[in-house]
Amino acid sequence: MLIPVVIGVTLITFTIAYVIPADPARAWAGQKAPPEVVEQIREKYHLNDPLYVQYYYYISGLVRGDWGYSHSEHRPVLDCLMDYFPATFELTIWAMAIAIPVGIYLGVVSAVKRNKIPDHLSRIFALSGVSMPIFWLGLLLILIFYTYLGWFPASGRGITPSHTYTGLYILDSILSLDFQSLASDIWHIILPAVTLSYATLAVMTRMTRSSMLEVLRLDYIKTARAKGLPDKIVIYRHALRNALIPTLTVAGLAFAGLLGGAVLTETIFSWPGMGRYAYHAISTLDFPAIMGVTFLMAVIFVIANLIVDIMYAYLDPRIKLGE
Amino acid sequence: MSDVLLKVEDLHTYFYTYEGVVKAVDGVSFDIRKGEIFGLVGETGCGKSVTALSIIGLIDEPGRIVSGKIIYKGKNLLELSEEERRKIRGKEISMIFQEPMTALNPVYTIGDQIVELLLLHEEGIANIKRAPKELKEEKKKKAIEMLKLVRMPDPERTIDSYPHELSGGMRQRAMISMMLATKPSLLIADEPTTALDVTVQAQILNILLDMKEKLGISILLITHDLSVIAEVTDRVGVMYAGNIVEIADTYALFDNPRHPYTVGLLQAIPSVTEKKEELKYIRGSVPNLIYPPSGCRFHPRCDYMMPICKKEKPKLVEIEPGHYVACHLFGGE
Repeated sequence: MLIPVVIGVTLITFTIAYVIPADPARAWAGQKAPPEVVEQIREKYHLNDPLYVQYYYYISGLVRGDWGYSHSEHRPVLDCLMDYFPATFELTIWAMAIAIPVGIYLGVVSAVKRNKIPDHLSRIFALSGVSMPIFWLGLLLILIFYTYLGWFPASGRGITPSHTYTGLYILDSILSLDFQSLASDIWHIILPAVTLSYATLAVMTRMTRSSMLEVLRLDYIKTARAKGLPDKIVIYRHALRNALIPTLTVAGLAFAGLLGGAVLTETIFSWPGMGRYAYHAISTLDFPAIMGVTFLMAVIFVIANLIVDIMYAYLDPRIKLGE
Repeated sequence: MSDVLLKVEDLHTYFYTYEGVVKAVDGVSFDIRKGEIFGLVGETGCGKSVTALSIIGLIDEPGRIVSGKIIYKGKNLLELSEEERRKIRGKEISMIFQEPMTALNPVYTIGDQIVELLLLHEEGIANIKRAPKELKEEKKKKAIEMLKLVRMPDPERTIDSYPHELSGGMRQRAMISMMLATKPSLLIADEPTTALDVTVQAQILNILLDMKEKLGISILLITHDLSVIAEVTDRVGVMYAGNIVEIADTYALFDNPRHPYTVGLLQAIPSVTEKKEELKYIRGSVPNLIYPPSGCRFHPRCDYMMPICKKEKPKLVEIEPGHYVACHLFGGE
């Protein structure tokens, strides 16, 4: 399943990029470039060849690690992605690390205390999360925690760690035992991570609540209680493990959603990530960059769903891999 | 006669819903003796299961036990704290349910689910993950013994199976062996055979009889199926719309039913030996328990209705030794 999906994605991004009624050669050459230069660019990048030939060049480039040349950055796309992707990945991981446990916990509390005050509070919280636009929340948080309170910074990734191993600043800070940058990086990531996580957190809460309510009605929960097990064990061992199965699906999809949502968050918090790069690429018609970003996101999406599938088999013995 | 294990006295369990108060159990009294199988029979929605859940203490919101007593071994269970009741559940009083397909947790093996119960009540370890390995192995051996006791085929393998790998009958056996693993005094079986094939039904009933003999437990068997009652119970209570209308020895009940509702139920069983023109049934339908009929709840459907039946609720009176009926026809006055 993995490979056909990835191939499909390359086909679609490639086609869409080329049906857009814009002339990349002219865009790269500049408004005032003489027609010969534009024609030269066309020749150089095979823009005059039939579409399938161009596609062939594109795919063989992808495989060879040549993802094209990013005109907005004046360097290869892959180099740009290597720089920007870790920033986005780090932000997304932190957003997930907030959204999943907190969302599941709130969902459980909400389901267990159904129609009581904790349930109402968590539902209001979740509803505001799904209905509040990310840019608005981001601005609100900046206004409160940066402008008024001055607790958190509003832009950038913080101090660059003394050694770079992975490009993930927090991990690198720990690896290079650079505690000054560690503190600064954590301090910088909090606001954007919270902003990015909120919508997902809300979805996780709602999903967990509804699947917990579903599971709590079932006979095996009655059995667990008839065994005399304490409520905590009934809820977390017997109900939650079953309720997590649908929640997990959402988490997998949410991961991809977060990568997409990162475009806005990164723009608001001047986070030097892939989202901001994609935004610049789109506004400058930097097609290789757009395609590179899309392709990378698709691959990550597929991998995230693969992980979800593996987790399913772990959570639910009825699902066997390879059947 | 004095060997009463559990005594239910004037139990009222109501459900407070948006539509109104559902009086699901409205003044039920009966007792269960040591080592007997007591059957509770009635149509769907007559309050049998609610009675059972009240005894084990699993009535959920919006339900509440409003009044009455449930006296188990001399203690009124309704006066105990939730924590004390929890310690009785699964150890002293156990329960099995109608749907063996859904009554076992799909994500844990049969063995894990039995071991969990043994660890909880024998060692006081609620979280199976915190138990030492040797202890788990020891309990697992005990669980295999229990599976053998209920004649589970290939218990050594079944113990590591997940519920979905077993048939309905095998799951019900696993359920029974689990709920009896702690050697409780009372097993509540709520329609344990309803969801099973007839041949499997007989096997499960035989296992229940067997367990009664071998372990000396009492069983409260809830069913709507009179043939099940006839087959295994020692005494029977007939429930109608939240009330008990008749209690008698099983033989006496089938031989000489007194309450018009019981008579109707027994007549509704199709017979192979006598070909009837038409199947007999009780006219009307089960009343709404939010606004139950006044007086005797059966009066709108009763062929022997008298004016008093609309006004006054009949009391359960002993008309013969051990045979109780709640009907104005047998008022004694």
